[in-house]
Amino acid sequence: MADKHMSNLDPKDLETQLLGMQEEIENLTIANQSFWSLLVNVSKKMQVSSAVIKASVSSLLSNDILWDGSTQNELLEIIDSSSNQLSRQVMLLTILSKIESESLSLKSEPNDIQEILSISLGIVGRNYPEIFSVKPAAIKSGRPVIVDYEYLSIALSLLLEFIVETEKKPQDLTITTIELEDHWVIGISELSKDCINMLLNVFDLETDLIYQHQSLLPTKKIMLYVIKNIFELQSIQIENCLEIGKPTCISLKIPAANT
Amino acid sequence: MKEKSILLVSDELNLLRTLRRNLISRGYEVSVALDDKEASHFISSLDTSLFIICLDFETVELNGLEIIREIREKSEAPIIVISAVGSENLKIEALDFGADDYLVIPFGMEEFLARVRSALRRWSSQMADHQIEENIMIFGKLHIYTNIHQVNVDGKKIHFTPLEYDLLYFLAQNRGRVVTHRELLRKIWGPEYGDEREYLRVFISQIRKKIEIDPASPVHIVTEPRIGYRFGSDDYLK
Repeated sequence: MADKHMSNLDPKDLETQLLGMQEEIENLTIANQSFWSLLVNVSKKMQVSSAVIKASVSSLLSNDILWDGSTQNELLEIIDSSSNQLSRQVMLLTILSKIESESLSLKSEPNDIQEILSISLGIVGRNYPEIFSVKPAAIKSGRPVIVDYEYLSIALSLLLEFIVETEKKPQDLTITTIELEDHWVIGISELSKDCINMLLNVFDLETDLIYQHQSLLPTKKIMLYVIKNIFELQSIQIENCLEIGKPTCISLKIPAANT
Repeated sequence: MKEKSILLVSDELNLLRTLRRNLISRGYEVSVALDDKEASHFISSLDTSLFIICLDFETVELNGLEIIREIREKSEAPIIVISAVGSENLKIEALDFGADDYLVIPFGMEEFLARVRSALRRWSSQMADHQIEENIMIFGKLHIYTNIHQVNVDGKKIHFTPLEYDLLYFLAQNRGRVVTHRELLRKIWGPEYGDEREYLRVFISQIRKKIEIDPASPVHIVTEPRIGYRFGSDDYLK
Protein backbone atom coordinates (compact mmCIF):
# COMPACT_ATOMS: atom_id res chain seq x y z
CA MET A 1 0.00 0.00 0.00
CA ALA A 2 2.78 2.37 0.97
CA ASP A 3 4.79 1.39 -2.12
CA LYS A 4 1.76 2.05 -4.31
CA HIS A 5 1.31 5.44 -2.69
CA MET A 6 5.01 6.29 -3.09
CA SER A 7 5.00 5.27 -6.74
CA ASN A 8 2.35 7.91 -7.47
CA LEU A 9 4.62 10.73 -6.28
CA ASP A 10 6.84 12.60 -8.66
CA PRO A 11 10.52 11.95 -7.74
CA LYS A 12 11.30 15.62 -8.36
CA ASP A 13 8.63 16.68 -5.85
CA LEU A 14 10.01 14.21 -3.36
CA GLU A 15 13.53 15.56 -3.82
CA THR A 16 12.31 19.15 -3.36
CA GLN A 17 10.43 18.15 -0.20
CA LEU A 18 13.49 16.33 1.11
CA LEU A 19 15.75 19.31 0.48
CA GLY A 20 13.24 21.58 2.22
CA MET A 21 13.16 19.29 5.24
CA GLN A 22 16.95 19.08 5.34
CA GLU A 23 17.18 22.87 5.30
CA GLU A 24 14.60 23.09 8.08
CA ILE A 25 16.54 20.57 10.17
CA GLU A 26 19.75 22.54 9.64
CA ASN A 27 18.04 25.77 10.70
CA LEU A 28 16.58 24.11 13.78
CA THR A 29 19.96 22.65 14.66
CA ILE A 30 21.60 26.09 14.38
CA ALA A 31 18.82 27.68 16.48
CA ASN A 32 19.18 24.93 19.07
CA GLN A 33 22.97 25.33 19.24
CA SER A 34 22.63 29.12 19.51
CA PHE A 35 20.13 28.72 22.34
CA TRP A 36 22.35 26.38 24.36
CA SER A 37 25.48 28.44 23.75
CA LEU A 38 23.53 31.47 24.95
CA LEU A 39 22.63 29.62 28.16
CA VAL A 40 26.27 28.60 28.67
CA ASN A 41 27.38 32.23 28.31
CA VAL A 42 24.74 33.53 30.68
CA SER A 43 25.49 30.86 33.27
CA LYS A 44 29.20 31.80 33.12
CA LYS A 45 28.19 35.42 33.67
CA MET A 46 26.14 34.33 36.69
CA GLN A 47 29.07 32.34 38.07
CA VAL A 48 31.30 35.40 37.77
CA SER A 49 28.73 37.55 39.62
CA SER A 50 28.46 35.00 42.42
CA ALA A 51 32.27 34.76 42.55
CA VAL A 52 32.48 38.54 42.95
CA ILE A 53 30.07 38.34 45.89
CA LYS A 54 32.11 35.56 47.51
CA ALA A 55 35.41 37.38 46.91
CA SER A 56 34.06 40.65 48.31
CA VAL A 57 32.50 39.01 51.35
CA SER A 58 35.69 37.10 52.11
CA SER A 59 37.60 40.39 51.76
CA LEU A 60 35.40 42.00 54.38
CA LEU A 61 35.88 39.00 56.66
CA SER A 62 39.65 38.81 56.25
CA ASN A 63 41.73 39.34 59.37
CA ASP A 64 44.96 40.61 57.85
CA ILE A 65 43.68 44.08 57.01
CA LEU A 66 41.55 46.75 58.69
CA TRP A 67 39.29 48.30 56.06
CA ASP A 68 38.44 51.98 56.35
CA GLY A 69 34.82 53.12 56.07
CA SER A 70 34.92 54.13 52.40
CA THR A 71 36.54 50.86 51.29
CA GLN A 72 33.98 48.90 53.29
CA ASN A 73 31.25 50.87 51.52
CA GLU A 74 32.84 50.21 48.16
CA LEU A 75 32.97 46.45 48.81
CA LEU A 76 29.36 46.45 50.04
CA GLU A 77 28.31 48.40 46.96
CA ILE A 78 30.08 45.80 44.75
CA ILE A 79 28.19 43.01 46.57
CA ASP A 80 24.91 44.90 46.11
CA SER A 81 25.51 45.50 42.41
CA SER A 82 26.61 41.89 41.74
CA SER A 83 23.64 40.44 43.60
CA ASN A 84 21.33 42.70 41.54
CA GLN A 85 22.95 41.39 38.37
CA LEU A 86 22.56 37.84 39.59
CA SER A 87 18.88 38.29 40.52
CA ARG A 88 18.18 39.79 37.12
CA GLN A 89 19.80 36.83 35.33
CA VAL A 90 17.86 34.36 37.46
CA MET A 91 14.60 36.20 36.74
CA LEU A 92 15.34 36.29 33.00
CA LEU A 93 16.18 32.59 32.89
CA THR A 94 13.01 31.76 34.82
CA ILE A 95 10.82 33.71 32.39
CA LEU A 96 12.77 32.29 29.44
CA SER A 97 12.11 28.71 30.62
CA LYS A 98 8.42 29.51 30.99
CA ILE A 99 8.33 30.95 27.46
CA GLU A 100 10.20 27.96 26.00
CA SER A 101 7.95 25.46 27.80
CA GLU A 102 4.89 27.48 26.77
CA SER A 103 3.85 27.79 30.39
CA LEU A 104 4.05 31.57 30.70
CA SER A 105 0.49 32.59 31.46
CA LEU A 106 -0.31 36.27 31.63
CA LYS A 107 -3.28 37.59 33.53
CA SER A 108 -4.51 40.43 31.33
CA GLU A 109 -6.88 42.69 33.23
CA PRO A 110 -7.63 46.42 33.50
CA ASN A 111 -4.68 48.30 35.02
CA ASP A 112 -3.49 51.88 35.35
CA ILE A 113 -0.64 52.46 32.87
CA GLN A 114 0.73 55.43 34.86
CA GLU A 115 1.13 53.24 37.92
CA ILE A 116 2.89 50.46 35.98
CA LEU A 117 5.20 52.99 34.34
CA SER A 118 6.16 54.62 37.61
CA ILE A 119 6.87 51.19 39.17
CA SER A 120 9.18 50.38 36.23
CA LEU A 121 10.91 53.77 36.37
CA GLY A 122 11.43 53.27 40.10
CA ILE A 123 13.15 49.89 39.52
CA VAL A 124 15.49 51.35 36.88
CA GLY A 125 16.18 54.41 39.04
CA ARG A 126 17.21 52.17 41.96
CA ASN A 127 19.48 50.05 39.74
CA TYR A 128 21.08 53.06 38.04
CA PRO A 129 20.85 55.83 40.65
CA GLU A 130 23.63 57.98 39.17
CA ILE A 131 22.46 58.04 35.56
CA PHE A 132 18.72 57.52 35.55
CA SER A 133 16.17 59.68 37.29
CA VAL A 134 13.44 60.04 34.65
CA LYS A 135 9.91 60.71 35.80
CA PRO A 136 6.94 60.57 33.41
CA ALA A 137 5.07 63.80 32.80
CA ALA A 138 2.18 63.91 35.25
CA ILE A 139 -1.00 63.02 33.39
CA LYS A 140 -4.36 62.18 34.84
CA SER A 141 -5.11 58.52 34.43
CA GLY A 142 -7.67 57.79 31.75
CA ARG A 143 -9.00 54.47 30.58
CA PRO A 144 -7.24 51.41 31.94
CA VAL A 145 -4.99 49.24 29.77
CA ILE A 146 -5.60 45.51 29.45
CA VAL A 147 -2.31 43.98 30.57
CA ASP A 148 -0.65 41.75 33.15
CA TYR A 149 0.55 44.16 35.82
CA GLU A 150 3.59 42.14 36.96
CA TYR A 151 4.92 41.10 33.58
CA LEU A 152 4.40 44.47 31.90
CA SER A 153 6.32 46.15 34.77
CA ILE A 154 9.13 43.63 34.26
CA ALA A 155 9.19 44.09 30.47
CA LEU A 156 9.13 47.90 30.72
CA SER A 157 11.91 48.03 33.30
CA LEU A 158 14.00 45.58 31.23
CA LEU A 159 13.48 47.71 28.12
CA LEU A 160 14.51 50.87 29.97
CA GLU A 161 17.55 49.11 31.47
CA PHE A 162 18.54 47.90 28.00
CA ILE A 163 18.33 51.51 26.78
CA VAL A 164 20.27 52.88 29.78
CA GLU A 165 23.02 50.28 29.24
CA THR A 166 23.16 50.93 25.48
CA GLU A 167 22.87 54.71 25.30
CA LYS A 168 25.85 57.00 25.77
CA LYS A 169 23.72 59.73 27.38
CA PRO A 170 20.90 57.95 29.23
CA GLN A 171 20.37 61.00 31.45
CA ASP A 172 18.84 62.82 28.45
CA LEU A 173 15.96 60.35 28.04
CA THR A 174 12.39 61.62 28.31
CA ILE A 175 9.28 59.52 28.68
CA THR A 176 5.72 60.57 27.88
CA THR A 177 2.33 58.87 27.88
CA ILE A 178 -0.59 59.75 25.59
CA GLU A 179 -4.08 58.31 25.56
CA LEU A 180 -5.48 57.73 22.07
CA GLU A 181 -8.78 56.32 20.77
CA ASP A 182 -8.21 52.62 21.45
CA HIS A 183 -4.78 52.49 23.03
CA TRP A 184 -2.20 54.23 25.17
CA VAL A 185 1.19 55.26 23.80
CA ILE A 186 4.36 55.37 25.85
CA GLY A 187 6.94 57.48 24.02
CA ILE A 188 10.64 57.14 24.84
CA SER A 189 12.58 60.08 23.36
CA GLU A 190 16.14 61.34 22.91
CA LEU A 191 17.40 57.95 21.83
CA SER A 192 20.35 57.51 19.50
CA LYS A 193 19.82 56.25 15.96
CA ASP A 194 21.86 53.12 16.76
CA CYS A 195 19.69 52.24 19.73
CA ILE A 196 16.44 52.77 17.79
CA ASN A 197 17.70 50.70 14.85
CA MET A 198 18.84 47.92 17.16
CA LEU A 199 15.48 47.75 18.95
CA LEU A 200 13.38 47.91 15.79
CA ASN A 201 15.59 45.37 14.08
CA VAL A 202 15.36 42.90 16.97
CA PHE A 203 11.61 43.36 17.42
CA ASP A 204 11.19 42.70 13.70
CA LEU A 205 12.98 39.35 13.87
CA GLU A 206 11.44 35.93 14.38
CA THR A 207 11.91 35.30 18.10
CA ASP A 208 14.25 32.31 17.57
CA LEU A 209 16.57 34.48 15.45
CA ILE A 210 17.25 36.80 18.40
CA TYR A 211 19.46 34.00 19.81
CA GLN A 212 21.61 34.19 16.67
CA HIS A 213 21.91 37.99 16.56
CA GLN A 214 25.58 38.80 15.93
CA SER A 215 25.98 42.21 17.53
CA LEU A 216 24.24 41.57 20.85
CA LEU A 217 25.84 40.30 24.04
CA PRO A 218 24.28 37.05 25.40
CA THR A 219 22.62 38.74 28.38
CA LYS A 220 21.14 41.41 26.10
CA LYS A 221 19.75 38.75 23.75
CA ILE A 222 17.86 37.15 26.62
CA MET A 223 16.58 40.55 27.80
CA LEU A 224 15.20 41.43 24.38
CA TYR A 225 13.82 37.94 23.82
CA VAL A 226 11.87 38.15 27.09
CA ILE A 227 10.64 41.71 26.40
CA LYS A 228 9.53 40.82 22.88
CA ASN A 229 7.60 37.76 24.07
CA ILE A 230 5.86 39.62 26.89
CA PHE A 231 4.90 42.44 24.55
CA GLU A 232 3.62 40.05 21.88
CA LEU A 233 1.52 38.09 24.37
CA GLN A 234 -0.19 41.35 25.32
CA SER A 235 -0.51 42.71 21.75
CA ILE A 236 1.85 45.59 22.52
CA GLN A 237 3.56 47.04 19.46
CA ILE A 238 6.85 48.88 19.32
CA GLU A 239 7.22 51.44 16.54
CA ASN A 240 9.46 54.31 15.52
CA CYS A 241 8.09 57.85 15.49
CA LEU A 242 9.53 58.93 12.14
CA GLU A 243 6.06 59.40 10.69
CA ILE A 244 5.21 61.98 13.33
CA GLY A 245 8.52 63.77 12.82
CA LYS A 246 10.34 62.48 15.90
CA PRO A 247 13.37 60.54 14.67
CA THR A 248 14.85 60.11 18.16
CA CYS A 249 11.78 58.44 19.62
CA ILE A 250 10.18 55.01 19.81
CA SER A 251 6.64 54.35 20.95
CA LEU A 252 4.86 51.46 22.62
CA LYS A 253 1.21 51.03 21.69
CA ILE A 254 -0.68 49.37 24.53
CA PRO A 255 -4.30 48.27 24.04
CA ALA A 256 -6.81 50.14 26.21
CA ALA A 257 -10.06 48.80 27.65
CA ASN A 258 -13.23 49.53 25.69
CA THR A 259 -15.36 52.13 27.37
CA MET B 1 61.13 46.23 36.69
CA LYS B 2 58.57 47.05 39.37
CA GLU B 3 58.34 44.10 41.72
CA LYS B 4 54.68 44.48 42.61
CA SER B 5 53.10 45.73 39.42
CA ILE B 6 50.01 43.75 38.39
CA LEU B 7 47.75 43.95 35.30
CA LEU B 8 44.14 42.72 35.67
CA VAL B 9 42.27 41.85 32.45
CA SER B 10 38.50 41.25 32.46
CA ASP B 11 35.29 42.77 31.08
CA GLU B 12 33.48 42.21 34.39
CA LEU B 13 33.66 45.55 36.19
CA ASN B 14 32.70 44.29 39.64
CA LEU B 15 35.33 41.55 39.48
CA LEU B 16 37.96 44.11 38.53
CA ARG B 17 36.86 46.46 41.30
CA THR B 18 36.98 43.91 44.11
CA LEU B 19 40.31 42.36 43.02
CA ARG B 20 41.86 45.79 42.44
CA ARG B 21 40.73 47.13 45.82
CA ASN B 22 42.18 44.08 47.62
CA LEU B 23 45.49 44.24 45.77
CA ILE B 24 45.93 47.99 46.18
CA SER B 25 45.18 47.75 49.89
CA ARG B 26 48.04 45.27 50.22
CA GLY B 27 50.54 47.53 48.52
CA TYR B 28 50.44 46.27 44.94
CA GLU B 29 50.44 48.63 41.99
CA VAL B 30 47.45 47.67 39.83
CA SER B 31 46.41 48.51 36.25
CA VAL B 32 43.22 47.24 34.63
CA ALA B 33 42.32 46.40 31.04
CA LEU B 34 38.77 45.72 29.85
CA ASP B 35 39.64 44.06 26.54
CA ASP B 36 42.44 42.80 24.32
CA LYS B 37 43.27 46.26 22.92
CA GLU B 38 43.72 47.80 26.36
CA ALA B 39 45.66 44.74 27.51
CA SER B 40 47.89 45.02 24.46
CA HIS B 41 48.62 48.67 25.25
CA PHE B 42 49.67 47.80 28.82
CA ILE B 43 51.73 44.77 27.78
CA SER B 44 53.80 46.96 25.46
CA SER B 45 54.14 49.94 27.77
CA LEU B 46 54.45 48.56 31.30
CA ASP B 47 56.96 46.53 33.25
CA THR B 48 54.38 44.19 34.69
CA SER B 49 55.47 41.47 37.10
CA LEU B 50 52.14 39.57 37.15
CA PHE B 51 49.21 39.27 34.74
CA ILE B 52 45.78 38.13 35.96
CA ILE B 53 43.26 37.31 33.21
CA CYS B 54 39.62 36.29 33.54
CA LEU B 55 38.91 34.13 30.47
CA ASP B 56 35.11 34.49 30.60
CA PHE B 57 34.61 37.46 28.30
CA GLU B 58 30.98 38.09 27.41
CA THR B 59 31.83 39.28 23.90
CA VAL B 60 32.51 36.30 21.68
CA GLU B 61 35.12 38.22 19.67
CA LEU B 62 37.39 38.38 22.73
CA ASN B 63 39.52 35.31 23.28
CA GLY B 64 41.38 35.17 26.58
CA LEU B 65 43.75 32.50 25.29
CA GLU B 66 44.92 34.85 22.53
CA ILE B 67 45.63 37.50 25.17
CA ILE B 68 47.77 34.93 27.04
CA ARG B 69 49.62 34.17 23.82
CA GLU B 70 50.28 37.86 23.18
CA ILE B 71 51.58 38.38 26.72
CA ARG B 72 53.86 35.37 26.41
CA GLU B 73 55.35 36.74 23.20
CA LYS B 74 56.40 39.91 25.01
CA SER B 75 56.90 38.99 28.66
CA GLU B 76 58.06 36.09 30.82
CA ALA B 77 56.22 37.37 33.90
CA PRO B 78 53.77 34.91 35.49
CA ILE B 79 50.15 34.72 34.29
CA ILE B 80 47.28 33.63 36.56
CA VAL B 81 44.11 32.65 34.73
CA ILE B 82 40.66 32.95 36.35
CA SER B 83 37.63 31.20 34.85
CA ALA B 84 34.22 29.80 35.67
CA VAL B 85 35.14 26.82 33.50
CA GLY B 86 36.97 24.18 35.50
CA SER B 87 37.37 21.65 32.70
CA GLU B 88 40.69 19.87 32.40
CA ASN B 89 40.88 20.64 28.66
CA LEU B 90 40.65 24.41 29.12
CA LYS B 91 43.17 24.29 31.98
CA ILE B 92 45.63 22.39 29.79
CA GLU B 93 44.99 24.75 26.87
CA ALA B 94 45.60 27.83 29.03
CA LEU B 95 48.79 26.33 30.49
CA ASP B 96 49.96 25.35 26.99
CA PHE B 97 49.43 28.92 25.84
CA GLY B 98 51.77 30.05 28.61
CA ALA B 99 49.67 30.57 31.76
CA ASP B 100 51.34 29.65 35.05
CA ASP B 101 48.36 29.05 37.28
CA TYR B 102 44.61 28.51 36.93
CA LEU B 103 42.05 29.56 39.52
CA VAL B 104 38.49 28.29 39.17
CA ILE B 105 35.61 30.60 40.16
CA PRO B 106 34.36 30.96 42.88
CA PHE B 107 37.35 31.52 45.15
CA GLY B 108 37.92 33.16 48.51
CA MET B 109 40.08 36.28 48.63
CA GLU B 110 42.65 34.51 50.85
CA GLU B 111 43.20 31.85 48.20
CA PHE B 112 43.48 34.45 45.44
CA LEU B 113 46.01 36.51 47.41
CA ALA B 114 48.03 33.39 48.25
CA ARG B 115 48.27 32.56 44.52
CA VAL B 116 49.37 36.13 43.78
CA ARG B 117 52.06 36.01 46.48
CA SER B 118 53.26 32.64 45.26
CA ALA B 119 53.49 33.78 41.60
CA LEU B 120 55.35 36.97 42.54
CA ARG B 121 57.71 35.04 44.85
CA ARG B 122 58.60 32.67 42.01
CA TRP B 123 59.06 35.58 39.65
CA SER B 124 61.40 37.51 41.93
CA SER B 125 63.37 34.34 42.74
CA GLN B 126 63.72 33.71 39.00
CA MET B 127 64.86 37.29 38.38
CA ALA B 128 67.35 37.12 41.26
CA ASP B 129 68.79 33.80 40.03
CA HIS B 130 69.31 35.22 36.59
CA GLN B 131 71.25 38.12 38.01
CA ILE B 132 73.40 36.21 40.53
CA GLU B 133 74.51 33.11 38.68
CA GLU B 134 73.74 32.05 35.17
CA ASN B 135 75.74 28.83 35.14
CA ILE B 136 74.45 27.07 38.21
CA MET B 137 70.90 26.35 39.42
CA ILE B 138 70.66 25.54 43.10
CA PHE B 139 67.67 23.80 44.69
CA GLY B 140 68.71 22.77 48.19
CA LYS B 141 71.16 19.87 47.76
CA LEU B 142 70.41 19.58 44.05
CA HIS B 143 72.81 21.60 41.87
CA ILE B 144 72.52 21.79 38.08
CA TYR B 145 75.65 23.06 36.26
CA THR B 146 74.17 24.32 33.04
CA ASN B 147 77.45 25.15 31.26
CA ILE B 148 78.80 21.57 31.56
CA HIS B 149 75.42 19.71 31.72
CA GLN B 150 76.25 18.18 35.08
CA VAL B 151 73.97 17.35 38.00
CA ASN B 152 75.19 17.02 41.59
CA VAL B 153 73.16 15.83 44.58
CA ASP B 154 74.59 16.49 48.03
CA GLY B 155 77.98 17.23 46.42
CA LYS B 156 78.11 13.97 44.42
CA LYS B 157 78.06 13.93 40.62
CA ILE B 158 75.09 11.95 39.29
CA HIS B 159 75.05 10.35 35.85
CA PHE B 160 72.31 11.74 33.62
CA THR B 161 71.59 10.71 30.02
CA PRO B 162 71.27 13.73 27.65
CA LEU B 163 67.50 13.26 27.47
CA GLU B 164 67.13 13.01 31.25
CA TYR B 165 69.27 16.13 31.62
CA ASP B 166 67.19 18.07 29.06
CA LEU B 167 63.98 17.09 30.84
CA LEU B 168 65.29 18.08 34.27
CA TYR B 169 66.80 21.32 32.95
CA PHE B 170 63.59 22.36 31.18
CA LEU B 171 61.49 21.70 34.30
CA ALA B 172 64.00 23.58 36.48
CA GLN B 173 63.99 26.55 34.09
CA ASN B 174 60.21 26.71 34.55
CA ARG B 175 60.24 26.14 38.28
CA GLY B 176 57.00 26.82 40.06
CA ARG B 177 55.01 26.65 36.84
CA VAL B 178 52.87 23.69 35.80
CA VAL B 179 54.33 22.34 32.57
CA THR B 180 51.81 20.24 30.66
CA HIS B 181 52.56 16.76 29.32
CA ARG B 182 52.17 18.05 25.77
CA GLU B 183 54.54 20.98 26.26
CA LEU B 184 57.22 18.73 27.76
CA LEU B 185 56.91 16.12 25.03
CA ARG B 186 57.08 18.71 22.26
CA LYS B 187 59.98 20.56 23.84
CA ILE B 188 62.14 17.52 24.63
CA TRP B 189 61.11 14.92 22.05
CA GLY B 190 59.99 17.22 19.25
CA PRO B 191 56.92 18.98 17.80
CA GLU B 192 55.41 15.78 16.42
CA TYR B 193 55.00 14.39 19.96
CA GLY B 194 52.20 15.26 22.35
CA ASP B 195 50.22 12.21 23.45
CA GLU B 196 53.02 9.88 24.60
CA ARG B 197 52.53 10.40 28.34
CA GLU B 198 54.03 7.00 29.14
CA TYR B 199 57.46 8.31 27.99
CA LEU B 200 57.23 10.97 30.64
CA ARG B 201 56.17 8.57 33.37
CA VAL B 202 59.24 6.40 32.65
CA PHE B 203 61.77 9.25 32.45
CA ILE B 204 60.39 11.25 35.38
CA SER B 205 60.48 8.09 37.51
CA GLN B 206 64.17 7.56 36.58
CA ILE B 207 65.05 11.18 37.32
CA ARG B 208 63.26 11.06 40.67
CA LYS B 209 65.28 8.01 41.68
CA LYS B 210 68.42 10.04 41.04
CA ILE B 211 67.53 13.36 42.68
CA GLU B 212 64.83 12.79 45.28
CA ILE B 213 65.52 11.59 48.83
CA ASP B 214 62.20 9.73 48.75
CA PRO B 215 61.06 9.22 45.10
CA ALA B 216 57.59 8.23 46.32
CA SER B 217 57.16 11.67 47.94
CA PRO B 218 59.03 13.97 45.55
CA VAL B 219 59.86 17.55 46.45
CA HIS B 220 61.65 18.58 43.25
CA ILE B 221 59.38 17.20 40.50
CA VAL B 222 55.76 17.26 41.65
CA THR B 223 52.99 15.59 39.64
CA GLU B 224 50.00 17.75 38.72
CA PRO B 225 47.43 14.97 38.21
CA ARG B 226 46.24 14.59 34.60
CA ILE B 227 47.92 17.88 33.60
CA GLY B 228 51.71 17.66 33.87
CA TYR B 229 54.56 18.37 36.26
CA ARG B 230 55.69 21.29 38.38
CA PHE B 231 59.31 21.75 39.48
CA GLY B 232 59.37 22.57 43.20
CA SER B 233 56.35 22.77 45.49
CA ASP B 234 55.41 26.14 46.97
CA ASP B 235 56.91 25.12 50.35
CA TYR B 236 60.16 24.22 48.68
CA LEU B 237 60.35 27.60 46.94
CA LYS B 238 59.89 29.67 50.08
